[in-house]
Amino acid sequence: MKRRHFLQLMAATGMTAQMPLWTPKAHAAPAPDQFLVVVNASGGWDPTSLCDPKGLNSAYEDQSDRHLGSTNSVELDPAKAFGNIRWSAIPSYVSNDETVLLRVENQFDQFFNTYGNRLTVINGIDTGTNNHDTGNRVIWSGKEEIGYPSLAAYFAAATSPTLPMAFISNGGYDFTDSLVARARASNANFINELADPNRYSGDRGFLFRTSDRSVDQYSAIVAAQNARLQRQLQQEGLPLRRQQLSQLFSVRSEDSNLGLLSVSLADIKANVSRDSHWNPNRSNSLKSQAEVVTAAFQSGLAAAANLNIGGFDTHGNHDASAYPQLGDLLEGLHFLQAALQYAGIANRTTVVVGSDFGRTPYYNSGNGKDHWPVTSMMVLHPHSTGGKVFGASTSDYRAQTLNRSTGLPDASGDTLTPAHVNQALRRLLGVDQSPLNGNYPLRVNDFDIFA
Amino acid sequence: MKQTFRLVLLLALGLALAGCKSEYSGNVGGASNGGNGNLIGNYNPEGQRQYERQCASCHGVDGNGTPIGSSLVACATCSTISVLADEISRTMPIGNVGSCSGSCATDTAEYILYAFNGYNLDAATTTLEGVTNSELTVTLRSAALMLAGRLPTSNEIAMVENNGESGLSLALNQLMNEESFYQWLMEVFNEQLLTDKYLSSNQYEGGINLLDQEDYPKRKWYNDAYPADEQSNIRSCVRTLTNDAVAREPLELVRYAAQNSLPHTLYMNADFMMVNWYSQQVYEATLVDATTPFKQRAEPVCDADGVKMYYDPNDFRPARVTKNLEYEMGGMPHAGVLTSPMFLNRYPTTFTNRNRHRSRIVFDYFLDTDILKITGERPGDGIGSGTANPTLLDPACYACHQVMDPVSSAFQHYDDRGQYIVTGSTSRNRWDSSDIEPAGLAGKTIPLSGSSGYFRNMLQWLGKEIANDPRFIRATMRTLYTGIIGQEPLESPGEQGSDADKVAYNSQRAVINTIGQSMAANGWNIKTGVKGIIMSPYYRARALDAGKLVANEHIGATQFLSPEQMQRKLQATLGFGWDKFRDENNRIMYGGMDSDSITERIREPSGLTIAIQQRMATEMACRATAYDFTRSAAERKLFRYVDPTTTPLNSEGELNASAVSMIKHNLQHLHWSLLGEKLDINSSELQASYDLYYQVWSQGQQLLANYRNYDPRPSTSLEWECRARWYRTAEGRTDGDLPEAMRIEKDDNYSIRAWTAVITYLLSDYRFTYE
Repeated sequence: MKRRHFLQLMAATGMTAQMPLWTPKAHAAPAPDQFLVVVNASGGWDPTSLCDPKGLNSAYEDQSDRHLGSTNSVELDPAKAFGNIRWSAIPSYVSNDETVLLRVENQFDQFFNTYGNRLTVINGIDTGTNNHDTGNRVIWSGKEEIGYPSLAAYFAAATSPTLPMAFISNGGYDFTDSLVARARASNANFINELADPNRYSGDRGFLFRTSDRSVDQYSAIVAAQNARLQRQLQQEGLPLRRQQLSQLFSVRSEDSNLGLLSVSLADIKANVSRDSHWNPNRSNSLKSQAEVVTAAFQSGLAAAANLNIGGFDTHGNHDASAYPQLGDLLEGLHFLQAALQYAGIANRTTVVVGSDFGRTPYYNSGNGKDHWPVTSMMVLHPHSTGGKVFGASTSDYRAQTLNRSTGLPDASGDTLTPAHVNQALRRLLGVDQSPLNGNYPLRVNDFDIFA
Repeated sequence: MKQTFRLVLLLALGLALAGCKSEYSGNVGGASNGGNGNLIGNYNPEGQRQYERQCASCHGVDGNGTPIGSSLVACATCSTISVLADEISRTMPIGNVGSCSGSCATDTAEYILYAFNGYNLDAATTTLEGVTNSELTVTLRSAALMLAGRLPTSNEIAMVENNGESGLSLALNQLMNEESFYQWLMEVFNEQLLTDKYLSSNQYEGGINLLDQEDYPKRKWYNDAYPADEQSNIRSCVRTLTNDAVAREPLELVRYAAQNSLPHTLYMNADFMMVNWYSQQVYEATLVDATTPFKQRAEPVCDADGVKMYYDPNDFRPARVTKNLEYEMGGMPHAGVLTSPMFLNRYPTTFTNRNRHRSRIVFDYFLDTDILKITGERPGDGIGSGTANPTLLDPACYACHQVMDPVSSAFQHYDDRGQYIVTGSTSRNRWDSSDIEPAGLAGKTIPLSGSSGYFRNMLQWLGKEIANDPRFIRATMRTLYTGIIGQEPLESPGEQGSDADKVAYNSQRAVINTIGQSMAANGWNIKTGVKGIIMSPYYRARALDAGKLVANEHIGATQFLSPEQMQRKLQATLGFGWDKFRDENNRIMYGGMDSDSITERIREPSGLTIAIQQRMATEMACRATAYDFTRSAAERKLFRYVDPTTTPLNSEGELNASAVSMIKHNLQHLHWSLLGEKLDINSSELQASYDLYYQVWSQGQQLLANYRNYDPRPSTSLEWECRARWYRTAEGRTDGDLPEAMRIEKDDNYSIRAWTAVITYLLSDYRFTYE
C-alpha cells in the first residue's frame, strides 16, 4: 500500500485528526533529484589549521609562551592558495617522520587544488558557545535551543520524507524531531541479507516459492501482516501506540528496495578503490560510510546523510593530532567525491563540512588548543565556481561584523552565526520555501553566502 | 481540618510503605526526610511577595518552571516547610545564595507548598483520571519480559489473578530478585553513564588500559599467569573476564545495593569499590569482608589449554585500594562512582578544563540540573569581556561558574586519566586555587583542615552531600523512568505553556516525585522506584479519554525494542535468540548503541530496521518451529496444544473439528505468549491467524500432491536451516547435534511449514517488535 492509500484509510477511520507526529509533518515527494551529505568533524576542529590560517601572528603573547603566543606554529605559505581560498601549511611539529609530513601536506594540497573550484569556505562564524553539545546543535540546526532538526534531517523531510532510509546518520547531531526516520547503515554485508527477507539457499525461500513466483507463500504472510496492521490502527485506544502504528504502517507501505542498494554497493566497492584514493589504509571509517551512503543515494533509498569523523578535540599536542586528522578528513571527502562521481550523482550532491566550534588562537601549556567559539564551514556545491571565501575572522581570530552581501568586514554589518549559515544553506538547497520552514524558522537577516 | 486529614493520611501511607516488602500501596506519599507535622501551610502573603521577587523569574509565577528553573510542583524537597526552607536557605536563589534565609525561607517555603503543592502529596500513583490501565496480568507479562527476560510463570499469573495489585507487587518482588533484573538495571544506568564503552566487545583491554601501570602493576596479570603461546586461549578468556570486571565496576555498585537491599545512595557515597575475583588480581585491593571467599561455579567459566577457571564473574565484592600507589601512600579514598577510574576516564578533564566537564556531568546525572540552562544568556561572542579571570570576576561567567566550579574543585586530586594524585605545591598535580571557587556544593564549602578535614578525600564529602540532596532522588527517578518508559519525563512547559501541557506535566511530576520519595523513605531501595513506575499509569495505560487528558502523547510505555531487548524477548518466547544480534554493527543498525560513538538508541523504525525485523522473523520462525516440536508438549514454548500430525482435515479430506479446536487453542496461546494479547477463541483476530495457517497448509497439500508441476519441486523435507538437527545456544548459534531420535527433518503433513508461516507473521507484528 502506498502513502496515498494509507492517508485514505486514516481519513476513513477518522484518525487523521489524531495523528500528531509522523504523517502531518511528512510531505510526499518524488524520488530525490538532489542529495545532501553533512560531514561532522567531531570534537571541535581548528579552522586556523585548515582554511582560515593565521600563521605566526604573535597575537597572544600574554596568554601563551608557545610559538610566541601565535595562533599557528607555522608561517603562512602564499603558495597554499586557490582563488581566494587559503589553507594552512603543515608545521614540522606534526611528526618527526618526513613521510607523515609529506602525506598530510599532499592531502591538504590535493584537496584544495582539486575541489577549490567548487568550494565555498565560510570563515568567521561565531557559534556563541564552547560547549560540545550546544556547538554541535547550533552548527547543524542553526539553533542553540533543543528542538530544531539537523540540516540533513530537515532536507530529507522537505524533499523525500517517505524514503525508507531518507536520512542516514553515522553520528553527530542527528535530531529529527520525528520528521523522518533515522537509519544507521554501517554493515554493508548485513544489508545484502536484508534485501529479501525470505531468501534462503540461492533463490529458494525459507517458505516455499517457485522460481517464477507464481507460488509464493511469503506473500500470504505479507498480506496478512498488512491487514492486521490496518485493524490495529483502527482499534488502538492509546495515542502513543496509534502514533507508533502509523509510523510502522507508513514505513512498511514503502518498498525498501534494499536489493538495489546491495547491487550498487558492490559496484562501488569493486570500482572505487579505497587504497588508490589517496593513501592505503587511511580514513577507512569515513570511506566506509561514504560507500554505503553513495549506494543508498544511487539506489533511490536516501536523500541525506550525516558522516562523522572524530579526533578533533585536541586539548593536548594539537599539531601532532589535528593536522593528520584534518588530512584524513580531506581524504575521506575526496573518496566521497570519487564514489559520487562513479555513481553519477556528484553533480546533484551538496557536501557541507563543519564542526562543533573552533579552537583557541594560541597553544596551551600542553601544546594543545582549547575550545573557542569562532569557526568555519566548507561547502562543496556542484554549481559553485571559483574558490570562494565568504566572511572573515580578525587577525587574532575573533568574529567581527560583516557586510551581508560581500562577507567583508563592515562595522555596520552583522556578526555571522550558524543561524545565518543554515538559512543560506536552506536557500542553496532549495528547501527554504518548504512548509517546514514555517515550523523551524531561523528568522535572521540573509547573508548572500552562495550568491 | 484538611491539614489534619492530610497528616493522618500521610502517616497511614507511611505505614503502608513500611509494609512495602509484602504489599504494595500506590498511596505512598511519605516524605523522605521525615515529617515535622507541619506539611502544607496556610497562605503566606510575605512568602508570596518573596517568591515573586526572588523566585518567579526562574520558576514561573505559577511554579511550573521555565527553561532556567525547574518546576516547584511536587518538587523533590516539597515535602515539609522545614525541608523546603532548608533547601532555599542553602541553595537559593541560585545566583545569590544566602539572600533568602531565616523567615524569608520559611515564608517562601510555606507559600510554595500552599500555592503549588496543596493537592498532590496525597495523590495516588497507580491511577490517573482519564486513563484506563491494562489488565494486571498484561502488565505482569510485559514487566516480566523487561525486568527478568522471561514470561511469567503460571504461579505468578495466579498470584496476580487472585490478589490483584498486591499480587502484582509480590510477583514484581520475585522478578526483581533474579540475575536478569540486575543485568537490566545496569543496562539502564549504562544508558546514562556509558561506561560500557570499555567492555572487551568494544575495545581490546579498554578498561584495563585506563588504569595506571605504576599504580596497578598487575593490571595485566593474565599475561604473567599464562605467558606461553600455547596458553593463548585461556589467556584470552581470562583477559576478557578481567577487563569486563574492571569496566563494569561502577555499574556493579548499582547492582550491589539493589541485590543486598542497601541504599542506592552507595552509588555516590560508598567508601569502597566493587571487584570480582578477576579484577581483584588487578587492584590487589583489600576486601571489606575478607572471610568469605569468592564464589566458584560448578562448571568452569574458562576451559582452555588445559586450564579451568571456576570463579564466578558475577560475584562482585566491596573492596578498598589500600596499597601504596605511585604517588600516594596507603591507597585512595573511595566515593562511589565519583572515584571510579571508568567514570573519570569516560568524562575526562584537561589542564585548562579543570574538571568542569566532570562537574557538568555530576550536576546533570546525579543532581538533575542542567548547568547550561542556569544563566540563560551567554556573552555575545562566547568569549567574555576580556577580564583577566572571567570565571570569577565577570558576572556573565560567574553566575554559572559559582555553581559549577566548587564541584570541579572537588575533583582536583584526580588527573585527566583518573589517577589519584593529591594536589600541592610540590606535587606533580598542581592546582591553582586562586582563580577558581573552593571545593563544595550548593553554597557549602568543604572543610579541608583539621583532623575532620576532607582535604585528601573531597569526593567523599561530595558523595555524601549528593546522597543527601533531594535532587539525587529526582535524578535517579529520571534515570529509571527513562529506562522503563522509553522516554524522558516531560520538560516543564514554562509560563507560556498551554493549560493542557501544564496539567500533563504537573500530573506526571506529582506521580514521579511521590514514587521517588517513597523510594528514599524505604531505605533508598531502588526496587521501590522501579516497582512504583511499573505500577503507575504511565506504564500501564491501555486507553485514555482525550477529553480529560488533552496532552496525552507521553502516556503509555510501549517502545520499539532495542536489539538487546529483542534478543531477550526471543530467548524468553522461543528459547533462543538471533545469532545476527551478536554482531555489534548489526545491533547498531537495528537502533542500538555502543556507548562510545553511538550513545543514543533509535526509537523510531526506518525502512532498514523494518527490513532487519522481517529478516529476523523469517529466520527465527524457520529455526524455532520444528525445534519446538522436539520437546515434550509440556516443555514446549510455542506448540503446547498441537503436534505435527494435528491437521484441520483428516486423510479423507473431512473437517476434523477436534483438531481445528486444538489449533485455535494453540493460536490463542501464541497470541498471548508472543504478543501479550488475550483473545477469545472466536475472535476475528484469532480467525485471521487461523486463516493464514489454513491457507499455507492447504496450499502445501496441493504442492505435495503435484510436486512435479513446480520449480523447484516441493518436498516433504524441511529446508536445511529449518530442520531440528541442532541444539541452540541462548545467542542462537548451533550447539552440537540433537540425538537422531529427537531430530525433525521432514514435514509430511505440511503442518510445520504452516506453523512457520504463522510464527513469521507473529514475530513481525507490532506487538512483538514493540513492548
